[in-house]
Amino acid sequence: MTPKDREHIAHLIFLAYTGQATPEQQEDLSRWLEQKRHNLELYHTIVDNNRIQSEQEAFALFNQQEAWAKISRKTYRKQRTLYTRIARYVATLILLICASVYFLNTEQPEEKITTAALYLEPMSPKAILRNEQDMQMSLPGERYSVKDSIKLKEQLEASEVLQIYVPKGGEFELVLDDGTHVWMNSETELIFPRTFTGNERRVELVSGEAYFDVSKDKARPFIVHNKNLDLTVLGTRFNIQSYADEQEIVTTLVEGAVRLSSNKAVLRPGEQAVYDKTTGTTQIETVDTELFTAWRHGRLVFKSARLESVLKQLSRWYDVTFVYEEEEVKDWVFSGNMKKYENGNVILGILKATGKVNFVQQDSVIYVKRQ
Amino acid sequence: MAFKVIFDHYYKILCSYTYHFIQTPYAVDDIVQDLFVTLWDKRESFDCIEKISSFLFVSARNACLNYSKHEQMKAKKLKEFVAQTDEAVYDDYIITAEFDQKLNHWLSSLPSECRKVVDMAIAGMKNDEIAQALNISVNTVKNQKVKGFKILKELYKDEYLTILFYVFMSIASK
Repeated sequence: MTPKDREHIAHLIFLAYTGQATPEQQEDLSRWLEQKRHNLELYHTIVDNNRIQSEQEAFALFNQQEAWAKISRKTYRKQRTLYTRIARYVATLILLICASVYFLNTEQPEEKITTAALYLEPMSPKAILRNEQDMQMSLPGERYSVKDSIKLKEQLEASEVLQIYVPKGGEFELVLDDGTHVWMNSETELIFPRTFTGNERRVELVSGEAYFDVSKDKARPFIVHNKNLDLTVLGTRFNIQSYADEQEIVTTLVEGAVRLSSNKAVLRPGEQAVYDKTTGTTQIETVDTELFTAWRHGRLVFKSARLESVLKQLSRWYDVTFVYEEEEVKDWVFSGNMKKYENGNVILGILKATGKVNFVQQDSVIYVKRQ
Repeated sequence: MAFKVIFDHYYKILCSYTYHFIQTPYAVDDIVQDLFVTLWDKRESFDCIEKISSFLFVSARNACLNYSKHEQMKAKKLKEFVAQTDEAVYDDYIITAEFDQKLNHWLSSLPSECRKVVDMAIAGMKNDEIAQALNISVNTVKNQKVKGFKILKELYKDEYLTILFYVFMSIASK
């Protein structure tokens, strides 16, 4: 590669990263990305926000003006001699340059500010709090505790029953009145009382996925209610996945004990119950719980999982839709353990690097193809 | 003239390149400054930008190795150096550094208010989040972003200038 080639590629990546590339430039970049798998990897390394941040900090350590001042002092006399020698070239060339820039500018078509291809919006940890009267507000930050909620609107605060909705791309931690922690994944809706009264603690998981760390209270069992299934627990940690658009409700127990209303079965730590909504049957098996609770620590872990289920998770995190060009691709099996990157393309890049699948993005739709 | 253009383009790139291996900012500063003084002294032997670029990077690498003889360099970093004789790895470093330089050039050209907004947008924050964090309206955020991208386009025009200057440089030094 010549310096010009390298600068050209760096320039294209820079424009794509800032969302300023014209369609032609995007094309140009895509061609380069498709040339070699390594190019795509390099691209992902370059646009990684953590790397960029530390690099920009390193850049701030060096003072360009100061350095130039020092270098000028060391070369000043010599510079002057050269300067006189080439002065006439400068005069002619400045004219040429002015003319050329003007020409090149008129060649440039008007650019619209477009979002770059290959860029997934990072997730935003936002949640919405509602009451029964449908008053609502978005919650600041990533965590909300019913106890330290001074800043919230008074009326909303006074409501006995509250609801939190975590939209696509979001993730949220909720602390209930009894000290129970609930980590809510994207697209999850939970109804809970402001204070628990009576002889049981009851919350409703309308749809979505949540990890519960329930405070011990033998006198008051904790119940997670669901349209299809009730879970009764005393003090325990477990994960429940119950998206309205999915066929199954998956309960994974990490610690303690959980009783399922469906067949009165009691789950032991390390066991998972899969409830089928249509047939009403429950199957229990032993699993690696880490696989089902890693999302809480911002990790994506899957083992011999179908591509469709992996991408479903990604579509919730990054708010995109995956469209498959071939049904067969959905059933391809992948295993992986990776960080939930700010930019979802890093994950897609890793999947691409297996040499099996390819992704082409058009706005918020990503087409899944065979490589 | 041309020398200043070369300096402006490569100074920070070389600093970041060198800084990867020698994590002592003042040492990096000295090494990079010396590179430019040497380039100046040898300017007659360069007839094209290709040669200048490879001279700068190869010299930077050698300077790092020399430095490491005095200060113990970590074994891992040294391995990376050896790996760099591979042409492709070398290209990767430079493409990455060029990208960082462009981003840095753009960001440091922005007025401070505008820069704050752009920094946050780059970090992945949405307009309403930025507005909340800086206590300004969403509209102001949008305006600052438009301003930021306008400036980017101005700088982008300069890209042609840079390339022309390279051409000029090679003519001038003959």
